[in-house]
Amino acid sequence: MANPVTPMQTNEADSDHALVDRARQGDRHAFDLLVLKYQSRLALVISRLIPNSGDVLDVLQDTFVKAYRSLHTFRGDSAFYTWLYRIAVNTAKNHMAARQKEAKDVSVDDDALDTDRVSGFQDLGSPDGEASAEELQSAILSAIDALPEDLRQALTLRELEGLSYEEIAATMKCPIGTVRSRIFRARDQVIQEISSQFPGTFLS
Amino acid sequence: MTETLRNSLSAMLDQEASEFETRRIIDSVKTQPELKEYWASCQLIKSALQGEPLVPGDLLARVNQELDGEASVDVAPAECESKPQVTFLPAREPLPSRFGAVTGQLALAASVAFAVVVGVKVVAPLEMAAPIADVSSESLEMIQFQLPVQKETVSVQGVQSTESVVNNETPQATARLLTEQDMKQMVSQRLGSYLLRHAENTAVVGNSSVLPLARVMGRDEPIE
Repeated sequence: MANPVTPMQTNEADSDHALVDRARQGDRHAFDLLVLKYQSRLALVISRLIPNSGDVLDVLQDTFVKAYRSLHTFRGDSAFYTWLYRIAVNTAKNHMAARQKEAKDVSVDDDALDTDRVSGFQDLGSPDGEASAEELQSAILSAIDALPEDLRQALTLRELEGLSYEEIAATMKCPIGTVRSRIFRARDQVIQEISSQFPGTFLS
Repeated sequence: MTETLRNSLSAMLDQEASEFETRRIIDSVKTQPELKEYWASCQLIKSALQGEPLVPGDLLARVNQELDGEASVDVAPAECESKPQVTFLPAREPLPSRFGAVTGQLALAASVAFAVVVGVKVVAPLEMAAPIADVSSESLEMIQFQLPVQKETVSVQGVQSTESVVNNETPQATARLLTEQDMKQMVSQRLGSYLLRHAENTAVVGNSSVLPLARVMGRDEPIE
């Protein structure tokens, strides 16, 4: 039976909406999953609007706090990420407007204080931290390269190309269940590899 | 954390999990925190592949800390006592005084309406009963004015006995019709005077005089 809506669209809405419904009922664990799911994606959006990396984290935090407070206004007409994206952009714009107003109001004597504050924000993204992030990213990519061909291909088609399981199955000429199993095993092996190289890097 | 749960979580991450699996994962996260960690690890792989910034792990803790702090402020009794609404509301004197003024106006309007109703119920029956009781002593002009009409009706029927019945009953019926009209005119006049007096009083009190005055000005015709 052909479905007019692709499984990816259907399940994306169902998955996020299920989490939103639970979060609305006060299930903070469900909201945690939404934060973990979209934090990097939103950080990329905000970093394009705000140059200071320290401010990016503050705006990101404000975005999720505002989102949680406003969950009752999410009607589900659009994707949850679209709704979240608008909150992030508005929060970033308000933040930049406030920064510009502060810059106009600041006096010459206050410049030193402002400089100290900027350097404090920069400490959040210190060279050590940036190096470890790059190192971690490199290790993850190396672990993916080391995967068996079928697992690596399934994972990259999913993560880089954004294909659905059905589309990957058609590309790799295998059942959807096999695609699902390959992607799961690929992730499992990468997590085990990185956890051994960087103990404590992953939350587990 | 079983392999089955991790498999379902991986599929849920790709929006490929069934509704049952999604529900089971959300339920299991409450009792198995390692599922949340596995979820975060899978997201980290995704971010590394797509070149997204790696967000520090304490962001979630910061968000939860702010939300928890917000919740604790809401339930703190000390915070509730220091809310401005609690101290502000007793200081608002204009609210009771305005309420009292409105209540007084409503009471005045209700009393006027009650007086009108009493006037209709008490005064009108007395004035209506008198003409009916004294119908024999009523002026013949009124009765004779109506009699030809009744006779014409009876003559159309062509029955003599009916005419006699009509001759016996017509004076009372005619008198009742006439006195009801008079009563309506009397009530209309009295009601008009009541409303005019009410409009004059409310004009002194406030804006509420507009409505009764409009009603009075609109009453050119007597009540039917």
